[in-house]
Amino acid sequence: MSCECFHCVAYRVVHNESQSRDFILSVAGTTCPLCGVRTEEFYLVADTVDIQHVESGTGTWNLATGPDGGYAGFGGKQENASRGTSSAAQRLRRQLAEQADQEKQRMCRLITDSAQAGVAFTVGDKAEQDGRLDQARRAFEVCAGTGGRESFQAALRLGQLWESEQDHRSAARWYRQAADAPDAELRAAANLLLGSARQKIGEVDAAERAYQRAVDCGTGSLQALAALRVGMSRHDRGDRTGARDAYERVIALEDEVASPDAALNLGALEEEAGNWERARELWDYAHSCGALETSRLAAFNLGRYWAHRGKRRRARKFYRIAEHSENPEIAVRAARESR
Amino acid sequence: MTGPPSPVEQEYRDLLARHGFAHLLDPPDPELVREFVERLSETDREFLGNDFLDELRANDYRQPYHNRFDEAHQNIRRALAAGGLELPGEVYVGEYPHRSFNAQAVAGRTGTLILLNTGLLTLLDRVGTAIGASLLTFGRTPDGRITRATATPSQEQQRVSATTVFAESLVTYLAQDGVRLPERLSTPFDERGMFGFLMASSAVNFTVGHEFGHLLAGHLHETTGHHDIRDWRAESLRREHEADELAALLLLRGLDPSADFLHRALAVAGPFLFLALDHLITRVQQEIYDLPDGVIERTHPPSDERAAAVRAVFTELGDPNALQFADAVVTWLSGREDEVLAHVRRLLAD
Repeated sequence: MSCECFHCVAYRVVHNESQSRDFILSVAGTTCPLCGVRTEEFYLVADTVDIQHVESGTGTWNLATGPDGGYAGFGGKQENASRGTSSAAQRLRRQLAEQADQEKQRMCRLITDSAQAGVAFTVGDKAEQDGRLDQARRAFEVCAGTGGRESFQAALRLGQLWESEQDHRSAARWYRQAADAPDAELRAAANLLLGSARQKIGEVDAAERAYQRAVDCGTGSLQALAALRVGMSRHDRGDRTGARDAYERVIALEDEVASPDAALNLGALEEEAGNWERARELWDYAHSCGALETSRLAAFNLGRYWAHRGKRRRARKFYRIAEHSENPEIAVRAARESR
Repeated sequence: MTGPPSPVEQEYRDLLARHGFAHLLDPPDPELVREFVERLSETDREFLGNDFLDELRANDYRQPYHNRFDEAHQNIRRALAAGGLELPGEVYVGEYPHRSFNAQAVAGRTGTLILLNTGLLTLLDRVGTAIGASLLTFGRTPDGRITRATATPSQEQQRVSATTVFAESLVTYLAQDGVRLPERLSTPFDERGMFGFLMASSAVNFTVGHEFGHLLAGHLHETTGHHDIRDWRAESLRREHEADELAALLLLRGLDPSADFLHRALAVAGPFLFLALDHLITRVQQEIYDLPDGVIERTHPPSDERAAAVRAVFTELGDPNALQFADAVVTWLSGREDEVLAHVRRLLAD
């Protein structure tokens, strides 16, 4: 498969190593039968199952030693074989060459259609791992253009690649494509990331709609995380009732990452409403069950709660934990309060 | 076929009669057919069925002569028609005991006679069967693992006998004394039997196609004009390559595009079976006459050179992937070459 156009440019069953070598050498410099692009570099593609069996010695391909003795020349190349000049030979050659071209095109098209998406995705994945990001993007774009099952996964990866370059608009475009995936989990992940990208470019309403779609089709952590984002979005817009509903839903899901975060935020809403005790319960939960940073932020809030209740020693205990927050403002405030 | 023979067929019949070979056109001896039927293995009898065997026994074989090369001839005709090619005159394909050539095209008064050496069909049939009998099929498990069939004791025996049959067939073909007809291996009536049969048929098509190639390229009516033996030989070798090329082109042109892969692969394996045998025939000739390499002045290029040139045509203009049976057959023969020659030496010493 050509590295240039990702079309199948040649296919061969090989009988032994010398045939493999000859075939490989014969491909470079040929033109693609489907688009005419010159093949400079190419990928060798083989069925995964066959590769496993070749590696383990349980396959049949490439095992033959090839003819030897008086037969050694039978498999030889006759690149300079003389060609008949009779009109019959020329006529047959013309007809057969046309037939062979058509058949090669047909087979290359068939193989391309069935293998292009998988190969391009594998190439993109490997290139990304190796840090060759331009090549990864090109391969994923080819895969995304096939419309097959892998194309949605490739679109998601393209979105992530663009996001790592801080190009959130391009990222959003690819996430939007991935969000049409037939697979619900992939659709949920794409919508979650799409919401995040939209949010970063200031399209708040569109972001919330994307998060909501992720809630609707996702399950488990994805759904919980998306619901948390819905809550945060509503919270940012000042829709406290909507935010409260979303956070409570996330807490009920008992997700180990999203639920403590939701509890932290819901606690803030409860504090705002004057429900200090309810807020404390939620922060206790976020502090004891949340990820490290969530736990530190919850500790800061708990410090404030206990300070509000006049329990300075207890408050300082929590502030000391919050001193280690990654949020510099919180860390400075906590350090000041803990003294 | 009924009616009077065509002029070119009549010329062929006259040729045989003139040289004392008219008996080649005689119908089979009913007694020999009955003997053959009685020698068939139980498996073969079961496959053919009692009704058919009774029919074989009861037939008086007075039907007109059936030319065993008709099918190959018709195959070439179909390829020519597909290619829109016309022959420069009438052609008849028949057997002739050349003894020194596998086949030869001769310009006659009424047309071209393509004469295949007596015994060539039998040799190809025997060797095709021997190869078929030596094959082991394989399948795949659901996880894609290859499973090779285990040879039954009878298959194992046939694999062992294949070398003997092979060697005896070669000696018989070359000696043509009609006495030491090799025991034929029982044809497996399954895909293995079909492999051997189809490859042998394709080898005949290639042989006949090669002679048609000489005709199409105009070799039969050319004079070389070379007085130097080296020039003559070079020209002769060029013509043989040209005939091989045309045979390969006709074989490809005659392939049914809708045929499955197996049939197409076996069809292109035939020429290599023929050329591999041609190589062995040369080696055995050297054994029979106790000649060192190079003493026999050959009119044809070496078999490996011919095979490589035919392979180049198939690779360029056919499906290179279809060559896998051809490669397997040549490798199989290559692995048995020394064994077959050792057996030939033992036969010649007896």
